[in-house]
Amino acid sequence: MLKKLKLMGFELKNSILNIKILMIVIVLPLLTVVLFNFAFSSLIDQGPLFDVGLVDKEKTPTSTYLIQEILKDDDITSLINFVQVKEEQSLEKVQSGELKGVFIIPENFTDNLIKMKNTPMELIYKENDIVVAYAVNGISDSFSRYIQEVQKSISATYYTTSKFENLKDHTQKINNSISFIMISEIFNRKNGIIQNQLENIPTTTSGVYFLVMVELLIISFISLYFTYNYKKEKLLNKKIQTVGFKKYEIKILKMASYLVFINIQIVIIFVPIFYYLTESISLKYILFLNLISLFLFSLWFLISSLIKKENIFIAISTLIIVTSNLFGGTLFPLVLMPYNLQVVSKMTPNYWLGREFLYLITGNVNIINIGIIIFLTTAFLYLSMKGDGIDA
Amino acid sequence: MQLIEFKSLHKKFKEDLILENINFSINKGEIVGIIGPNGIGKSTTLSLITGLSKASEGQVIYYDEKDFKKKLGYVPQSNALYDNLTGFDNLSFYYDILGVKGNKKEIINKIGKYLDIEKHLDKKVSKYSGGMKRKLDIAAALLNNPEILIMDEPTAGLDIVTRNSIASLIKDLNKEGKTVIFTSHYVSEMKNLCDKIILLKDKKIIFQGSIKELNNEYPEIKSIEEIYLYLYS
Amino acid sequence: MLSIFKWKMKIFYSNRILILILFIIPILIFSIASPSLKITSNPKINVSIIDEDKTDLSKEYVKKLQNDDRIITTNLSYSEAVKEIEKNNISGILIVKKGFSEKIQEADNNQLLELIYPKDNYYFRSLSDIFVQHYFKDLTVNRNINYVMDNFEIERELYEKEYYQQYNNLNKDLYEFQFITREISGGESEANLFNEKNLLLYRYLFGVVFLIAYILILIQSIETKIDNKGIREKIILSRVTFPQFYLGNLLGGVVPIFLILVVQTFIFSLVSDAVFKIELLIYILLFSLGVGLLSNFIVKVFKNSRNIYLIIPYYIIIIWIFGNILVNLDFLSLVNIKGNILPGASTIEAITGIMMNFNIITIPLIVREISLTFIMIVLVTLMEYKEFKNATN
Repeated sequence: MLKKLKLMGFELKNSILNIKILMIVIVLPLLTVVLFNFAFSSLIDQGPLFDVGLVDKEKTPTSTYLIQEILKDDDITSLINFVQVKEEQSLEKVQSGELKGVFIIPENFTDNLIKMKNTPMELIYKENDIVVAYAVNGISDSFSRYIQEVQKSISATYYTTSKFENLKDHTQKINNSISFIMISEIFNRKNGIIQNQLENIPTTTSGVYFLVMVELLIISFISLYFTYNYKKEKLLNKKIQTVGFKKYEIKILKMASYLVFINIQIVIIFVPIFYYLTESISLKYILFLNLISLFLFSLWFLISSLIKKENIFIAISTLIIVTSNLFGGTLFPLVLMPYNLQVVSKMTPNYWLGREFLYLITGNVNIINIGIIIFLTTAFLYLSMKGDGIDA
Repeated sequence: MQLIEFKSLHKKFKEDLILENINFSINKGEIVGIIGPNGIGKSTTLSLITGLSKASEGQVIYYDEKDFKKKLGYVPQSNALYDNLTGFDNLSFYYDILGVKGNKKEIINKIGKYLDIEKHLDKKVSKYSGGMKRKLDIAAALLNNPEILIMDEPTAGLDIVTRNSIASLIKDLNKEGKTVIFTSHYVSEMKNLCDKIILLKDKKIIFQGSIKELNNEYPEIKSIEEIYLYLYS
Repeated sequence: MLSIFKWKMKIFYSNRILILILFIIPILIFSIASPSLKITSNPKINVSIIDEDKTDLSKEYVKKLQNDDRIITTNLSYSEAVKEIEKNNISGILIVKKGFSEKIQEADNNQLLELIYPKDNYYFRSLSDIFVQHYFKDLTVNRNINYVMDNFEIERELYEKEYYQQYNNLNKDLYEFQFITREISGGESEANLFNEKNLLLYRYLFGVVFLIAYILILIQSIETKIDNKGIREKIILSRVTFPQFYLGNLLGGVVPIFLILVVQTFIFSLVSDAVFKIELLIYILLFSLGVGLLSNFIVKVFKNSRNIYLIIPYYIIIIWIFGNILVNLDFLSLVNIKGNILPGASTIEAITGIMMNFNIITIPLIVREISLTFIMIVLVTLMEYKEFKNATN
């Protein structure tokens, strides 16, 4: 038993006393999460992120009213802040980046609206500014539908009223009044919705989910690094066998010491940030991260046993991690992926591991899923013992 | 005819003195062995001869300076081979950078045959044994038909059969008129090959001369191996 | 220099499996993902609907939602639905409040629906328009009819019948509202914004491909670095000069990457709507040079190649933030952090823009990239020179 502990201790000392590794594994994640927390929390908490200008070329009471309503409407989209600007300054402001785009209400816009003439609105923005394009596209899409509906209803009113004798003479007046009302309708449309937000349910768009996914990314690489080291130390491992350790014992003991190292990282980095975000922490989260680490170790060991060359092993494993994170929801929100790609996401281990962590937080632990992870870990480890690579 | 002379040479690495007041000369056509245990300054001496390293004090005189480096073939201590390429590709690279003239394939195959590695040239170096790698290194050094061959521990880590074959090769190359300078800590190689040996100890040369002269200096000690042990234990 | 260049190319291509991965994987990703960009396949949201009103109008409304392909609907009780939200199986709950149809008929736009969703689901928050769209017409129509009823003496049934007749006779095409877009360079293009829904995804896919390129080029730099002392000594003795060695080594690493990327981008244009233009070659060359130098720099800083693998997750994150790859993060200008400060990033913007057929002004991007490349060349040259000189000690 003492011999086993000494082996673990030796391995741990090697990792901890390596200042470069410590720097990479502890300082870098800290910097990353601090940077991210700042950027990410501004995305979800702070509200409007870019300014979009409004230019009134029409300059009538109706157009003024329209612009005022748009400026007041904080519900159009949470990403955009509307600002009224003068036409002559608009292009310059978009060019300089002060504004991300400008909507131009053309001359006779509302007048034409009332007269049932379709006058397009102009939009200036940087075509290759994708996020702006996406947000603006969303508003335009939505706005168009409402304006269309308003136009149709005004037209229908016009044609209907002109059919009735007692209304014919009032058609224009009716039209003018109703148009004003209809424009308000567009901006009051969401009065119809009561919004109730549920607290304490983390989703795949939450900061805590992002933290978990980044931690998974980091653990993936730490576990890969240690497996790579283990593979390179083939000769050393063979020597250790000669002093009485069995192959599987060496593997498990080394894995245990690497796990201690990962736990140091979890305690220093993950735990404080998780607590800051959720104001709670529990041992079960740390245990689950350990289970994920074991699962990842077993996966790398299995792949390592199938691939003899170290450089190919590292390339393939890195690729697995990178693609799993790219499509699994770490760097691009799952909710924004088209349906087909959401299906691809479900093929990545990150997607499932991330979800399971969310279940853990909400108390919806699925024992079967945990069982599957444990089963796969054991199976991979067993198969890796049978494999050729490391033990050759 | 003198080829190289070291005059009052000192070599420092940062603040550490590696070699002190080194004086020796090498003549054309000699086989010179520089002997001593690990870390004594043998490789440093060779790097001073090749010009890879510069003396901190003193001089290295080349009597045929203009052409010295062109006539040089160098076998470094660590294998100067890229494992993922074939033997042929490795030799091809050195052939190109040495500016050798002639039919590349013919010359490489000829040298390969000479060193008995011709059949393996199309395999990746990662598949070579230690002895084959060493021979490939030597082949790379022979590509430009050098007059002076400098080898840093050419037989280190090899089995006795391979060591013997490399020793024979050195003899054969010397018979063709090549000057060979090599380092080793195998005393038996020195005994059987060298015209001159240089013994280094405590940063200085403690002996330089032939084996016979070494024996004469320690008449009471029977064998060269025992003299070596006496000097370095 | 040619000998070093040829040799370095051979070393690069000797790692066949890595080359295959570098080549095949981005093509695979693009081929698999791009069909979902060709068809406008929106993200779908899962919502559970509870109808408290239970009238014909509310049932009709629920049916419209069920037919909207942007939504996947289920009918669960409130507590079941909350459980499903916790499990992340659905995004939220929509309750059609009691009195819905009455209010619609009265054109009373107050508290018709209730949306319940997790607080941090910022995406769901922005989706309320999808639900409003399906009752807005009825609301609008009733608003119009009620206005006339309130202000004039007229029989409702008669007016309504005529109104619907007129409404249905309208030429719907005349009312399709459009936006004219003007791209900032001054060129004009009438684009229907409805087709640009997948720009974000396209950009992300390109980002994925280039991110993988960054990583694999780094791995390739690690695997092909010349750190064998013996080889370096022999190179010096052959009297290959430092500039010859440096240039040969650099180009030998950059040219193969360039060739692979050119073929890849050409294949992307075949399997998707992306466009391949000859001018792309310049940007791909700049990208290869920039990223090749960056990888060289990293390899020289972290001499132990094993430790480099530990920094890869942070490399990914740095590329994400500073490489302007996955999502345009100009909002980070809050702290004056700008994208595009990573070598290769500006060329990605140029390549992506050209392939997506934008009117993109490339000169500032080239200038920025060349400046960054110049800085990298200076850094790497100094480090390489130091290593070259140290081989002689």
